Amino acid sequence: MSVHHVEHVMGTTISIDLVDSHDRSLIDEVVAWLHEVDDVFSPYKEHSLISRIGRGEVAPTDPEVPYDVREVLQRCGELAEATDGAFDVWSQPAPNGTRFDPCGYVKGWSVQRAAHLIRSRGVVDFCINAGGDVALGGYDHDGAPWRVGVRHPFEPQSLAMVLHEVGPVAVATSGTYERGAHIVDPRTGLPSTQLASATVVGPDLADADAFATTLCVLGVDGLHWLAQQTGYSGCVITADGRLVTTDEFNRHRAA
Amino acid sequence: MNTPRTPEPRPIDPLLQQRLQQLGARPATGERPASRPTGRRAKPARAAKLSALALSAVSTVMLAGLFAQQADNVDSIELTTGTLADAVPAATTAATTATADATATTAVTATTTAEATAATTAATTAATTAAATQVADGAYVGVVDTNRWGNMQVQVVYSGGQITDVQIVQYPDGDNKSVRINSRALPTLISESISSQSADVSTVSGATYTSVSYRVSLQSAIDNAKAASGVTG
Repeated sequence: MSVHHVEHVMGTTISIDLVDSHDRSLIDEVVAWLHEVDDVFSPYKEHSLISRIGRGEVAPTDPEVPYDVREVLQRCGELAEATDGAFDVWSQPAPNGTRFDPCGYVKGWSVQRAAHLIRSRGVVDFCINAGGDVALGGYDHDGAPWRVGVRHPFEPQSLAMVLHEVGPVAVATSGTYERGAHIVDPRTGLPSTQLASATVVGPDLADADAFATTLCVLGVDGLHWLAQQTGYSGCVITADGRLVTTDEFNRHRAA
Repeated sequence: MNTPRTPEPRPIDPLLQQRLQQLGARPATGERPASRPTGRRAKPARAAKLSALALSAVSTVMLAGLFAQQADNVDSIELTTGTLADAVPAATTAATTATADATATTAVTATTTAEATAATTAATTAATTAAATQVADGAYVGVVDTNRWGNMQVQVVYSGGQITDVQIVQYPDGDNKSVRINSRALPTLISESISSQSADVSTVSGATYTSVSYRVSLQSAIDNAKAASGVTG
């Protein structure tokens, strides 16, 4: 018995796959959470809290700012420090005309929260895929490790590799192959073009997603920085087609 | 940031091998405490500068081992100037697409694009002739949306009134830039590519669910499904 649901929210398609569960109400709860996040955090919505913060109408320290939002803002600040500005949600051209776009963190964060919610309801084996960013619990429908394909950056219908994962684990891929999903270097304001894509595996989808974006900005050298982040590993595919990985990453690759 | 100047490491060079072993002895992880807001981390580039050569070259050696016949191509970590030159057209493309993308979000909810509007009209027309509470099981295709890179068409699969899968029927492949990169790309990756149809994978990281055309076609597929089943709303 399993439940599979696909929801269109936050400008992307999110699929939720629960193994050994028929808990429709849990799906409803997760979907409601994702829409709630979209309402609060969307820079596409003029009156969302994040748009108002971006325009300076609300201070991040204002009492009306909920704990969740402050948590996100604080972690984004830490990431800006940790990456020396290579990941900076305050230096991103946002759809609402401001320079504040936390989407690069919020999607992963909200899905990671959804994964915690699912696990707290006793569902151990699950897969959430949010537009290519994946949060996994336990094992797949056959009791085997999840097989996660990593999209080939130059061949949309192909995979560059397959990873074997046992949850809880997250896999995030950022790329410049999808038009519109370009990555801007916050330090220069210019698109980063060295890499076609970057994939990060680690315990938390929010950080994995942010780290994958960071890699796209830092280029191949960013792998050295990534290798210092405890629990995370990754690979990059350069714009001219070379694959470079951290040592740890190769343990995830299917033979 | 500065790319470390790598003296074109050749995996078979015994001197390099020796150097790698020395450098490789340095622990790659765990030395530095995780970053916290109070402490400012050293610049990633500077922090990793010395181990940069080691890891790049180690990865290169590994790759060379995997794709021995490609060793001449993979043993450099420097970017070609050709790749950097792509930055200008990429910037133009990015700016254009960003605008289009902002419009697309509206498209999904309000169906403002021509194609989606047409589909919605069809749905409404059909719905007046019959009334149902949920979409009948089955697969429903959306419109073919044409963008500058080619055609995009999406199919949705309904089961028990819920969408259980979204499949891409047609995908744009007319992107000149991609083709150019592709022909220049290393055979290592091309030979590595695995058909996502034949590969037995549970899910795919780095999917293609963000493009404007994807949303347009998806919305119309949903509309078509409701129309075909006589579902209103």
